[in-house]
Amino acid sequence: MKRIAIPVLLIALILSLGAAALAQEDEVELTFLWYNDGQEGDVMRDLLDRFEEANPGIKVNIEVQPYSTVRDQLRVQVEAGQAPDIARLTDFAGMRGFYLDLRPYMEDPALFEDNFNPAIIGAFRSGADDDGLYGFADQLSVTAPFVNKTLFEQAGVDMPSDAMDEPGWEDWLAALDEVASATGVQYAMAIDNKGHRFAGPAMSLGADFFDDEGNFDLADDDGFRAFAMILKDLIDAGKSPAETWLGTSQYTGAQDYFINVETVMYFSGSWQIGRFANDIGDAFDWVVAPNPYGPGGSTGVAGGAGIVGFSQTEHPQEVAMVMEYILQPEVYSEYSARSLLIPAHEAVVDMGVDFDTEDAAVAAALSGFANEVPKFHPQAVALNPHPLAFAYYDASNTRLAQYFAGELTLDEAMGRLQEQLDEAAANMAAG
Amino acid sequence: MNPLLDQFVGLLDGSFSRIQRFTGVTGMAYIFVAPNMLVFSIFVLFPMLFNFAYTFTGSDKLFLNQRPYVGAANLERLFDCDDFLRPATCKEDLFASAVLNTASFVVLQVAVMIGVSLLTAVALNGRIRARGFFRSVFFYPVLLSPIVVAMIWRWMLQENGLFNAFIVGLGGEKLRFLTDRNWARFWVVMVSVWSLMGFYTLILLAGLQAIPADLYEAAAIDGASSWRAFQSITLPMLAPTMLVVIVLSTIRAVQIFDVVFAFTGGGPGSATLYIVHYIYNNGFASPFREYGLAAATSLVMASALIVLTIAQIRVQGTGLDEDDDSSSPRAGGLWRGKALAGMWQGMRRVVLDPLQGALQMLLDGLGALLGGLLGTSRRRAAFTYGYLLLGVLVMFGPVLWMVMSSFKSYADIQRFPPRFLPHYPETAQVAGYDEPLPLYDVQLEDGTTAQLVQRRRVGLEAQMLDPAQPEADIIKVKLSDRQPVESVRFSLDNYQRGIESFNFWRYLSNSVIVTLSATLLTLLVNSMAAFALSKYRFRGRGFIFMLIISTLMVPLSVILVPAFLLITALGWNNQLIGIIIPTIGTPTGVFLLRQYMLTIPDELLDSARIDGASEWRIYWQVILPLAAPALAVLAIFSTIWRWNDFLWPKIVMTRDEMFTLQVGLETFQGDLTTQWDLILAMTVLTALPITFVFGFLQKYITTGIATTGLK
Repeated sequence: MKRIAIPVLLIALILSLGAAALAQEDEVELTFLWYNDGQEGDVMRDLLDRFEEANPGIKVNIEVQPYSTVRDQLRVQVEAGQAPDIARLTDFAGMRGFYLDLRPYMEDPALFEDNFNPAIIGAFRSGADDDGLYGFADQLSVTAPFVNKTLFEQAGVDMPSDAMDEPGWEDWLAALDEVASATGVQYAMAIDNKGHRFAGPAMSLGADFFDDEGNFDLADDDGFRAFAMILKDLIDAGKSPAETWLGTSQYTGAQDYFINVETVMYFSGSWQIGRFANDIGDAFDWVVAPNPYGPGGSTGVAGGAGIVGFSQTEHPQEVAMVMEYILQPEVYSEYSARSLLIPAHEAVVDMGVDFDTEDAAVAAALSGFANEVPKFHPQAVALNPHPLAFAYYDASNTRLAQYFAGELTLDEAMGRLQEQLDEAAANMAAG
Repeated sequence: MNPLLDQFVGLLDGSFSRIQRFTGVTGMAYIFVAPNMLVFSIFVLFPMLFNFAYTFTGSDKLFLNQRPYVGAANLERLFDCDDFLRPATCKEDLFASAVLNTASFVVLQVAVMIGVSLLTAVALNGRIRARGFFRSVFFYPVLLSPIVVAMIWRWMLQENGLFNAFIVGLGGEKLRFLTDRNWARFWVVMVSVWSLMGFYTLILLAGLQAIPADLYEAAAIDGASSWRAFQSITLPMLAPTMLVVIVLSTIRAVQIFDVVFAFTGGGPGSATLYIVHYIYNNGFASPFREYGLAAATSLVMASALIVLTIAQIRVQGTGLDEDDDSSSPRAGGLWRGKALAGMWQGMRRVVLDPLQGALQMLLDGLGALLGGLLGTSRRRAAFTYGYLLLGVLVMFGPVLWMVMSSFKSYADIQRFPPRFLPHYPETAQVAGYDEPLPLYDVQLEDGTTAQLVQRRRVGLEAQMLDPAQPEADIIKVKLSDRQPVESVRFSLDNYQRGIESFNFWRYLSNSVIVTLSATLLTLLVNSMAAFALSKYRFRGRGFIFMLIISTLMVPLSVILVPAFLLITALGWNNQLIGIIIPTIGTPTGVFLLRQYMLTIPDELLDSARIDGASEWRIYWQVILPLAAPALAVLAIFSTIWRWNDFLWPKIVMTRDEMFTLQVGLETFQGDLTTQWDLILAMTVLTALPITFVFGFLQKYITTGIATTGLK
């Protein structure tokens, strides 16, 4: 009995293992690396649940990581051959050559190709002769200042944007000062320590970021200089939190100062709407103000998060199916509506998004950002998809901090910044 | 013993006996030394060689076969400089800044470290009560991970922190402790001294206790003052230990990274950017990976460290010659002592004697002053206890403040000036509201006061209700007219929310797995190697031992890039094995265990052999039990090292679910910059396990370090 039992058991075991293996082979599992600004990951999960229902053989695991991990570590992961199948990222050009060309796998490549700004599609490509379809933006982000309106009301000060036609930085700074001292709020203005946020005000003040060939040209730029000086004055006077720019070398969002009513104005972008709707609630009224005016107009900077597949994937067909699903106008539109993100998808823009909010502040903020879109300076659109955009963000962060800390003069800081960008450009050309 | 383990050991015994039949007794030495040397060669030696390959190649590609040869271009870039003292004239100005910053940091930190440690050691060496307690107090921060240390101090030094509260309370203006260049540099020195001085104090204390008491007695008979005795007996006798401390602390200071990375991030500007941080930035953090530049910097740093390591070897001695006389275990110590005494004499003749006259006057003046102040033994005792109690405040105060703060509500944390105990608002359940509403004492317009609940707050105004009549109209109250009703309460709310938003259990289990398995493996492979190196004579023994010794002080940061490539080639990214295996061949452990095993008499081994025991059995049943004290010390060290590891796990682990607690905590604070309620709670949780270990084992830890001089 015993003698028979063991072989039988073994065979049963082998069979059951084999069956399990077979069952597993049927299902394709994809890893989708994600980071969250607000609640958009939950919305995407919801949409992908529906996708999985319709495509029983595919399972998409959303792996949520802190933004800093995506920014600093993904690149190494990809180089090491450990790319996720799909990722959400902001440095479009950063991993050119590693992305998956969806064109051969898509049922309708036009859905992708015709619906996004060529600058966005081009940012993922390796060169001019590359016509691959690699990644698209899941949102168009716009930078502009958030203002705590309740504080203005309590101080009895008119918001410059209500009181005059084209308020500039001087008008705003005077008003913010008055509000801050009247209400006992510590800071007049906070801004994320990122060259991206810095670029909008600099361009409004007349900065020309690029020369005619589209190369960074900042060594002697008056607009850049003007905003750097405004910011240094604010930090020196304790009117803008020094710890954002000087307390760390890493990218630091300053949103907590705004949420905690420690600053009257917060300079950031449209991706914060979801978080503010959630974290501020009805604690105070907040609005999006137009970008302060200057010789360069009133421009924010465009940006966005991109969704890409990686060519290392073992399941390119399934990756393309997921991407094509997200590109469906009704799916994309629902994602935008529920995540409170401005769509970058032209068919969706044409349809108009019915944002899923009953919060009047959110609705007003969304239209506030929408008002900024037509005012974009051409360079404000070109910045983020530029292959050296992230080299600029990184280097400007260091160099501006050195200037704010009194370590370099502004001229030295801008000279160094340009040198680093030239070096990066030469490296890129050589590589 | 566990029967399963018995079986396993039996199995090992059998297979090792079979091997021994092949190799013979002496040949077994190679078998014993092999596992350690394998790990050591792959993860230390091999990457050191590969570092050259990176230094002389360019581009941002990680794999060497894709990197074009660029000659010395990377090194040239680093040294392309008109005047090294002015970074602005250098091509890589940040490298020059990092070198200058590191140099000044090392000098300052070592000087302050020696001064404070010596003072503390002298105080602890006096006739005092509760010496064990005080010793532990000073030692406790040594166990805290650099990330935890950084959080503790950031919390106190931030703009609205405790220090500024004191300053404002005294009528001053807030100071920019972390955002002003000079202050930031000052605090980096202070914080690193705070976190490490306990270690050097223990070493110096051991040195002080080894000075024969009769010397002091003789001096007293001769009528020498105690200051005089300190100068003429203590300082010269302590000189060898002092040299060890100077070398050790210098080598550590050169490698500073983790604590500053989390404390100031290298800022403001580049004021606290040090060399390892510069390597990390170029190789692993900037959008354009400059592996070549990072490797070149490593090479430069390694060259500097080799000089220091040679000094270290000369100071500590390799102990290679001493085992001929294993019957006298203290021979090594004597040899070392002699060499040191020689060095001290040399230094005196060259440096000190010419200065002697001036120095003597200064010292005498100081002595007279101290003599006046501390003339009586009662005064001296008062001074000693005063100093030690101040030490308790300085060493424990910051930790206590963090723990207290971690129990506070978010509003309470935001409060400036802060209060010591955590306060929570009293609430009342009001009909018609799901959540309880906070209670306030309100000054009403008619001059009366009432206790109302707040429905919501709009800027400077609050909408309040009478809890007894929730139907009545809303009363609008200015914020300045209301005081929250509060009670002191220790709430675990921050911990709960922190654990929810922080992958705590996952990080914890990763940390525990890594710490335990790395420690067990370290004990095994290190003790095997130490056994071979101490008890066998075999060809290559001296060479292997020199190899191990010479890398004693090579930090991971020097081989970061190639070691990372290796992990990648092995496919160990995001696998726990990737942070366990590379750490187990520690030269420190081999060195420590070997020195201890030398003291085990060879006769024991010989008689075991006569009884027919195999070499494996001798190792397992004779050597290991006898080496238990040293193994215990190494186990404790290894636990601390692995628990607090930061840089290597941060580089190998790119997926959140593979993070260890230290890496998770650093990322967490980067994401939530000002959410101190959660950061503090998670910092406390990260520090808790090691604190428990210390609580139970502190006696072994402190005596272990004092006797072995290691960390």
